[in-house]
Amino acid sequence: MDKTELLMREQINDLLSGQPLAVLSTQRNGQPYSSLMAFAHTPDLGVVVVATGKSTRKYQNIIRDSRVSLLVDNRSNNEEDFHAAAALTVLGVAKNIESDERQEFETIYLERHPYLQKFLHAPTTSFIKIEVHCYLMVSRFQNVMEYRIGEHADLFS
Amino acid sequence: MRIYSADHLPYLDAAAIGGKGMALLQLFAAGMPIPVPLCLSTEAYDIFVDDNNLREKIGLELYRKNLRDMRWEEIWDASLRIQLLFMKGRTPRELEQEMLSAITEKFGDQPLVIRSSAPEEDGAGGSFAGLHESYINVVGTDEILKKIKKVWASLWSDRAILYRQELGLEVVKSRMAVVIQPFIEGQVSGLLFTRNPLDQEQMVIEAVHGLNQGLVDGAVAPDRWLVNRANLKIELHKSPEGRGSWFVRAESGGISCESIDGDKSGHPPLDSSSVDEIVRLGLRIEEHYRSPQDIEWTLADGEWCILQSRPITVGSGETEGDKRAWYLSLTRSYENLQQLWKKITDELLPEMDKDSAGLAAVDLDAMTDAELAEDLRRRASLNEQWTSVYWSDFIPFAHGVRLFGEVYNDLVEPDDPFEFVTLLTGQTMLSTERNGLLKTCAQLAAADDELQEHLKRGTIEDIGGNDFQAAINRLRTHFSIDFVGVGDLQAVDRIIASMILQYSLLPGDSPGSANAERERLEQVYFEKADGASGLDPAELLRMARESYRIRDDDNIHIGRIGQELERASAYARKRLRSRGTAVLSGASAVNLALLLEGKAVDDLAATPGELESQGPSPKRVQARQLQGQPASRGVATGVARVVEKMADLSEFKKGEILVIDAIDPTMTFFAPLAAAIIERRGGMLIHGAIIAREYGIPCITGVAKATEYISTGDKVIVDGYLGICTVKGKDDSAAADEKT
Repeated sequence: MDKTELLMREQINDLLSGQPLAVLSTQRNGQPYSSLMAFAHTPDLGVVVVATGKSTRKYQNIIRDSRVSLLVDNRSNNEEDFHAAAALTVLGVAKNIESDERQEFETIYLERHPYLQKFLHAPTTSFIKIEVHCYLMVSRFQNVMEYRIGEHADLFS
Repeated sequence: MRIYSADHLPYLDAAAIGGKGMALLQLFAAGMPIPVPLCLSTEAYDIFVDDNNLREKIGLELYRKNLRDMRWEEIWDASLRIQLLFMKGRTPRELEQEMLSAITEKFGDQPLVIRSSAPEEDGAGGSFAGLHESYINVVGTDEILKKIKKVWASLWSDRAILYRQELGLEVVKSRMAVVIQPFIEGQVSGLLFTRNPLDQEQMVIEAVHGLNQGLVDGAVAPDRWLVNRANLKIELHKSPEGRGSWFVRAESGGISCESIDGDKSGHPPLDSSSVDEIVRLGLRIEEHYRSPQDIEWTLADGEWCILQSRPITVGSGETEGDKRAWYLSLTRSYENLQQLWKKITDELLPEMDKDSAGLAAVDLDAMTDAELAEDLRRRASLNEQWTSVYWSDFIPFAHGVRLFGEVYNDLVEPDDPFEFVTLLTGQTMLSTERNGLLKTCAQLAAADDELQEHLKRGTIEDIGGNDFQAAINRLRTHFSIDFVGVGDLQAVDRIIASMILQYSLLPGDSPGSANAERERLEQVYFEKADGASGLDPAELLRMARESYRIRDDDNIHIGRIGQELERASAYARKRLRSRGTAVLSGASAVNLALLLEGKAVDDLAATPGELESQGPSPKRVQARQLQGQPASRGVATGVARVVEKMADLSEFKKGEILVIDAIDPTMTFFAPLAAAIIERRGGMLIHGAIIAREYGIPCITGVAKATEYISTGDKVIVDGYLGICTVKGKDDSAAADEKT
């Protein structure tokens, strides 16, 4: 792993660790749909986990099209955000959590959001992992760096 | 309320009106002879900044990239943009009325002094003296309002930004207060150190005829006295070499530097009784503050007047690591630039050309090994000597362009902060002349199939035809086109041949509208300058044009010396290798000289690792969009050609986007061929930007790691309006884009 990649990983990890919420985008029949979600990520940056009620529109959307996008940012809602804030767009694919990985993902999720324990364990809640294909980090207003993680295909191609 | 007098002292602090403002109000309240001070608080600055939405505009400008990664040139560019935002900003009506009514009530229509008083100047661990602006002899409400804005704006001068960053202050949080006083037209002025930094038992007085601006910025040499602190006796009086000039009030406002009349120049500005008076006054001030003081004073119609007093910092002078003097030296005065200009055109350039012509005339073939070794050393030393002159004299002269830009923006207040550059373009420069010669060669080749065949093979030596060879020879001898560092002569020929072939693809010269625009701007500039105070506008423009031209030409002049060093080095390598001596192509001239003398050289053995570049690692991190400065307008889409070394030039094709670390003028023949230029080195006035504007090609400079993040073959979109390049990666998807 070269220095640029290490630095990029550090920046991504800092941003993800510093924010409890992300905007999740799904779509149905070409209509985009955005939702605010609690999330957690694995230390290797390969997976982001979220939980949602099974009756929600976002869950129904994911069942039909597993390709999703997340937005995480550190804005303070002041004008200095334009030069100071960073935003991270995450592109990935939502998948069911296998039984052998559930314990690990629950631990990282509940470490970030201990108040959501009841919600997470409810039978009507679905716990979902998003396998990350690519991170796009926007900083200093207009700088955009792309980090392809793993050997996944380009979701836009 | 945002404007305060000494009556408000109990409610004030340095955070509100700055250290200088506090000190002056206190001195006045203590009954010291100082011109009545009024202070405009930092709140007024905040109101102006917020009302004009400047805060985040400044933030975006200074955080475009890490300030520490910005070269001084880029910070100067950012500073020029920010300062123009202040000049074009409007003072809110309510604030304007509050300021003007307080000023009129206190001073009537007296000429004023408007001075900076930055709160950070206290306790920031460094001295800000001289970093921000002050204006003298300001007359009329329009001028007063304008100069207040200029004092606020001076918080964002290049040197003030750099200095605050050096001290670790958060740059965007800075604010500025202003001190307003009546202008006192002294006949004699000077400085007083109540303790000599070099001898604690002495005081130092420096004095000049007229106003003290000449003394403060070093343009006028002062008389100097050392006075014993214990008995107040003068221990030494030293006159300057001459008292040639002085600063006086200018009729049109401001001040001007003039020749001093014969009578005064023969006399020191102070007699011994005046020296006695000023040191006693100095001691009173020292007693008031209970610390040694650095005092600026003036003597007007027999009355002493204190202009400023500040504590002498511990150890005095510069503390270790204090770079203020260096930041101040980045800006050259008009007078200093005039002297440099004369020196460069009358002495340095002719001498440099004489040296390079002398070296070119040497017949290396006829030399013995010992002679060649000696000659190599001479070349290396000349190259070193001229490189040092380049840094000490040529680089500072480039400030002429910047000084003109500052004056132009001040007078014209244009929408585009870099509009002034248009006034400097269109001159015949060596680089444009060289590109003309390349075009001549291309036209000859276009009409001659045989010639073209030679060019395709890269064998220009064999080409017949006197016109063609004459043009090639002139390119070689006058334009340092032999590419220092490429090494072997065949490689050079291949580059020249390839360049000429590419030039033959260029369209004919199109008549531009640039001249008309230049004439229009020139007219606007002279109209605005008419009646304004300050420098002679025609002379300033002439100097700026010379500064602009020489900035480009000087590299070609010095390139001839470098080329001569390279020619002899290449020859020496060839001679040594023909005898079987192992020589690295990067061996220095000095090492080659040692080898020629049969001596051992230890750094010639290359380790394998140095020779092989690291293999390409798979790039997981890629740039999608990179920010730089918009250095030449326009939009272009094309395929990137990353040029990392001179030899890459032979691959360059017309219509490609040139991505390069830094272009110097000996390389700018690329420009007419390129669809756009992306440069890592930043600046609006660097060579790549200059040549791009000359040819109307989009250009972005200051793109951090440009050559690392962009690869040859990537499809790139260059936005020369915003300074953004979008990288689309290799051509698969690009080809698809193009079809749609």
